[in-house]
Amino acid sequence: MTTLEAAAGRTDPHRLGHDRESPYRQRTLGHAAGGPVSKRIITGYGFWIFLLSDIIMFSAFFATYAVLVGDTAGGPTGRELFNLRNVGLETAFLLVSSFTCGLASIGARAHSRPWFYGAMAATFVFGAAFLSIEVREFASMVAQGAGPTRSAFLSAFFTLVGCHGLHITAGLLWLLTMMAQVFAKGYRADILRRMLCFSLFWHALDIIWVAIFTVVYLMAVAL
Amino acid sequence: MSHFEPTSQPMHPSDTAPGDERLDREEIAEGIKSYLIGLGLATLLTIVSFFISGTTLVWEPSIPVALVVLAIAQMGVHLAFFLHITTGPDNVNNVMALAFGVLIVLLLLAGSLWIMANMNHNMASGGETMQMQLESGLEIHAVTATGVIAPAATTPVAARVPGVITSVRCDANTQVKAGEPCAAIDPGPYKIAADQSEADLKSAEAQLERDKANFAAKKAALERQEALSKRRAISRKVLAMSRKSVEAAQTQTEQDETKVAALTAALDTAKTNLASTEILSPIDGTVVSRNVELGQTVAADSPPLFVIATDLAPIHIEATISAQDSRAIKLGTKATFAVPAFPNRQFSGTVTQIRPSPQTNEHVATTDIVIRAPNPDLLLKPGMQATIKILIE
Repeated sequence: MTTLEAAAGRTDPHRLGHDRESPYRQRTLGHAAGGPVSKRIITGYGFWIFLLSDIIMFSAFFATYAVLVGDTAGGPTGRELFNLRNVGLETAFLLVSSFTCGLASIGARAHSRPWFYGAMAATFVFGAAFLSIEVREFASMVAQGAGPTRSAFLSAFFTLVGCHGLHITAGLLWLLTMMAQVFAKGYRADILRRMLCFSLFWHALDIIWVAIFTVVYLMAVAL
Repeated sequence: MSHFEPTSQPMHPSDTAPGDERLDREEIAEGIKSYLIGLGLATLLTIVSFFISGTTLVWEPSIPVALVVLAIAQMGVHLAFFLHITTGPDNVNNVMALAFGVLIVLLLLAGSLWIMANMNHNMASGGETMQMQLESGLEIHAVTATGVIAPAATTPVAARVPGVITSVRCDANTQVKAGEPCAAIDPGPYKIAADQSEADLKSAEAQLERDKANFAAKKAALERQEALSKRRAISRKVLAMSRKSVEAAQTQTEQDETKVAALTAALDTAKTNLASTEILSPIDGTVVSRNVELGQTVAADSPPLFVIATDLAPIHIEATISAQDSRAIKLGTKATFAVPAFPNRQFSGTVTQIRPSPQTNEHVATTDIVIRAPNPDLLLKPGMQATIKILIE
């Protein structure tokens, strides 16, 4: 409700805009669809602000990487190190896990047990598969002497990709927590809001991965 | 955040906040459809990205641009179909926040890249000799030059016997192991010579045996006659004749022995010559040059047939710089260089020789320097063009 309407004396403050039959609902000038917006939308908005700040942090790592990508100090370059087959697998796993995460969030809102747990488990499996490929890639690079201390390029690479990997790890822990909470507390509104935040987080990680596989891996091979 | 708009719920509006109601069938189908479209589009864009990153079908400088465009498109797909950031009325705040976030991200990326590119541009102009005045007043000079990578240690392989080349197995850049045959000279004449020597030796040995037997028989006869002469049963003249003939037989045997020794030596030489028709690599390494053709007749003192560079050996780069620049360069000065084959790598070495160049370049006195660099991963190959940069404070 806006002050404009209040000034016009057409509001009903005691009903707090919950009344859907209100004739002003569709004609309000506020950002939301009229009346105090639902908690779900406010929570989502707040978490979205957090995600944007996280994306800004990642963009700083991307800028660092882009500046340092040529500074290999005589060490190996990305073209020599990266295995696109692995990256393709990682991308596929993360994309599918993002999809199943979406299904899980629908499952939660539809209060469907098998659907929610099945999709969450699939999300976990694909996320963990992604993480294991990444960990193996890191280990083989370190074993080749191409660890983060080798060159500025590799420091930037491990910081950027490793930070994404840490986010994925945190996301997997959160995923398990969400399953446990739904199991223990059911489809309560607050649990569903947390589930919303989790799915936003997981989708945002996939967006960051799109930037990583393009800027870090594909560019290294294409350039 | 959601595309979901409650419409047909019969329950009382104040029971549940909008957006918290349980989804009905239609909404579920709608939600799944959105995720499926998102998955399909994202998969398609990913496949196109991976495909064009490795393709040679398109103009190469356009690939990074295409990759960026595809990535942005895919992020849009994720935002719309997975995160449900749409233009719906619920989403105005989210879209505003996103726009602000994108603005910050763009400022951050563009600002960092622009500033750093500018700094790099100021630091690395492509001149022959650049000079930079640092704030402290310290002058840093970079001398650049070009040179060709050459192996630091090479082994020439020459023919040891003359003849016609019947096979050539090594060529420039062939990897060889010690003892591996590189070429062969027609062994025919050497085989005949060896067989001849062997036959000569055998006949000389037979002669020696016969003469030894003759000597032994004559010696026995003389001993008998000496015994008889003690009893004066034989004339001195006969005895003297016998002695002479024993001496003659002995001389003959000694001559035979000398001949056998000489022929044994000749056979050894012939066998060595025969073995020398196989031209073997003396070391593990890479053939740097081949100066022989199949069917060519080579002499024993002809120039080396092959030059082989030892593996794992350091490389040398010889470069010419102006005498003026060379004054600041000392033995042991660090040099970095790059080769076109590995554009993103920088190699380093040290200056190991500085000598005045015999020739002047457009009336400018020049100095030849030699840079020695390790080559542990064997990336540097002889013949590569190196662009050398030496920083002098």
